[in-house]
Amino acid sequence: MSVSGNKSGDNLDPRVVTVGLILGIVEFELFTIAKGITPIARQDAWISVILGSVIISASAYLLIRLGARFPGETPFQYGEKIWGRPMAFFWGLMYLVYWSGFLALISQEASMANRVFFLKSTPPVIPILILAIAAAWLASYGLTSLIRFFQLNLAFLLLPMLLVFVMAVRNMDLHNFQPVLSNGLMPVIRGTVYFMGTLQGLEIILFLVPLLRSAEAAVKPALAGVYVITGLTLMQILTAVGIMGKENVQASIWPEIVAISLIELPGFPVERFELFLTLPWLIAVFTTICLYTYFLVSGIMGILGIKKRGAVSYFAAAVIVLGVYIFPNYPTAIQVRRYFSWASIFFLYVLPITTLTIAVLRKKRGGMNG
Amino acid sequence: MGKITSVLFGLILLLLPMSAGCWDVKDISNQAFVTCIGLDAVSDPDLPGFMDAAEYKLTFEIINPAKLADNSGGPATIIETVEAPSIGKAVEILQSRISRQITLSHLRVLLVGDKLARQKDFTDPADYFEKNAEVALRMRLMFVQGHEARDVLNIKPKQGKSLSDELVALTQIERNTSLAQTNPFNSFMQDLRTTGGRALGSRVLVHENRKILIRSGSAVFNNRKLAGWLDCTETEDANWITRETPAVLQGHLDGLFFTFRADRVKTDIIPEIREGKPFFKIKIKVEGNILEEQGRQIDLSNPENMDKITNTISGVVRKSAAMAISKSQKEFGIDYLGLGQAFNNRYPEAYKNMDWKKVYPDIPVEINVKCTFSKSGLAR
Repeated sequence: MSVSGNKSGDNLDPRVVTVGLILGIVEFELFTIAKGITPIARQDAWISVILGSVIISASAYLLIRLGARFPGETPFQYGEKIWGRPMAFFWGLMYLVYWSGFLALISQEASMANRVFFLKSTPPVIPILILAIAAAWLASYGLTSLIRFFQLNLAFLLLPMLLVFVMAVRNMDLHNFQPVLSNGLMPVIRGTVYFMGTLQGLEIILFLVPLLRSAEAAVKPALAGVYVITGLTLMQILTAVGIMGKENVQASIWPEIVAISLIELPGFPVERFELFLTLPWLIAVFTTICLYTYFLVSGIMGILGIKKRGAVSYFAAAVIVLGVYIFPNYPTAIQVRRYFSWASIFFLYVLPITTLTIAVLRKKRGGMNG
Repeated sequence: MGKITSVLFGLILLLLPMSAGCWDVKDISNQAFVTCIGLDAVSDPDLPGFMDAAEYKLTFEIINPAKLADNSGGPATIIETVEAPSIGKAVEILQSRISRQITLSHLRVLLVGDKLARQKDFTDPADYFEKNAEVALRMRLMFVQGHEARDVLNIKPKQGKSLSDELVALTQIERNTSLAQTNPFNSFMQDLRTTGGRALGSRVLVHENRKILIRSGSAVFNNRKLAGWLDCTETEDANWITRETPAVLQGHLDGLFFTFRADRVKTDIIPEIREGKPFFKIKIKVEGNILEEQGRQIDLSNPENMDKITNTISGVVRKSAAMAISKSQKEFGIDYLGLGQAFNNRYPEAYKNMDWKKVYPDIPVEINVKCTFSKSGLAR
């Protein structure tokens, strides 16, 4: 079974883990995360993100340790060794449902944002169909190709976001972050857990490790990736809460985009700075769709033993397109997304770390390590 | 062969939806750009043909592209007034009168008439603009004292092609003056939400002959409704506490009448609890230089003279800030200066447990002013 894309022997430099994490995890939710965290942690949302970065980086380290125990093996292969076939099959099916659900959600969000900001009258299925076909085609070439594509796009994602943040700084009001910890530590901790759940895509580490030249050398790039993502999230929260205040953040649907639209540089002939976010948004959504299409395709092939990659890829594309229609309305999708973020804690952290614990306790290792 | 057929089939499938044409075509020559909206209450709330009585009178300023290139000096705008039960309906009615697609993407000013601002909870009419993705929420929000917003839109702009241009330009210039209050739409809404309905808004005055427009003073909001007005002097007083804007001060010293420009103002509101009750210290730092001396000239290079002048200026600022506090506490009884927010930031538990509206008018406030010179005050 060569679902990992490792058959070419073209081992990747461990530094690509940073790129994989950033492009794989960052998606439209980056522009809505303030809306999700502020009702929980209120003006202390930024503390939740900083706390979360510590826990997420520790989890990323543990995921690398898990992958490193089974060199050259995909999660589906060593999952069977650790959990036994029936349990591994069950967990595999759960992941398939999780990935399919996430693909449907992200395509619904992309479609809605597209309808509001860009193509109001165009049937939503058209842009999503184009995205889905392109994603399925790209994902069919394997993770190595995806990572190369991610590398090409990294600068186009990061630079506009940094530029927008720099422009936003002078519009922020520090009073909007006061009083600090007025409701105690519990809301901040709950906000941290919520933030951890929004990092869908962290499991890319498990899929990337078998393709790397050295799993050991992937720790620093993985931590760098986590810190860049939390840095971007922190920037978005500081921008949204700092410019709009927590009450207005909660009153808006896409607070980060609204906050950027409020930036005003006196004497500067350009307005509507939120348009700078168009490119990062498109790249972030497309790369995440690509990654999850890959997860779904490799999952179906690895778990169900289906060999026809082309057919499976187009099934994944169909899931993306159906995502536009599966939710009756956008508020339902937002609600489901919140539940999804809580459920992600299990799939991103609990299950992989439990798997590592069992592997250590049962002294399970990959074949190449003996 | 099979592959070629699949690719061709896929291409045809992709191209099929495009045969219907471009859904979202936005030709600039087919757009009607609304640049300013005036919101007023309807005097006679009946509108034939509608189940609900008209509550809003909306006056739209729309760019007239044909006149943009005309150098004759007239305004390049069309003014249309519509009455409707809701703002969304008013926009629809307007569309039936305009041959181009109405767009609010260039809406820059929202004017609200005195009567509507007093009658309506402002969050009601504001909601349409918050929900409309086209609208830039940083648009200017201004309240018209004693008149309808429509009266402002009927004034011919002195300079430029539209009144909205002139209003926006005025708000940009007033960054350098403390006589007016600038609070854009988004920031005003934020104030209403964080304080439970209290805010200071921008004021527009229409001169009696309805031909001159003045931007100064501010609108006081309480419970999300207009509660009263501050004139330009009262706004200047309030701005020592709320805005930290440059200001021009005047003072008398031993026969000398001088004018001082405060280039930099820094205000710290420090809440305290003394004997279980709220107490405020307001520290104002002013930095600037002497603009003019009248009556007699004094030696500005003499440190003793400078000390006398800084003491005089500090006294003027202290008195001005005290007037603002007194106006807010005793006359209005409304905390539009943001002291409650500062107290909440420092003592959230204590704030939750007190009725701020009741407590506020009697809170003691201590004002300290420190004045320094940025330049010597000598010529050049």
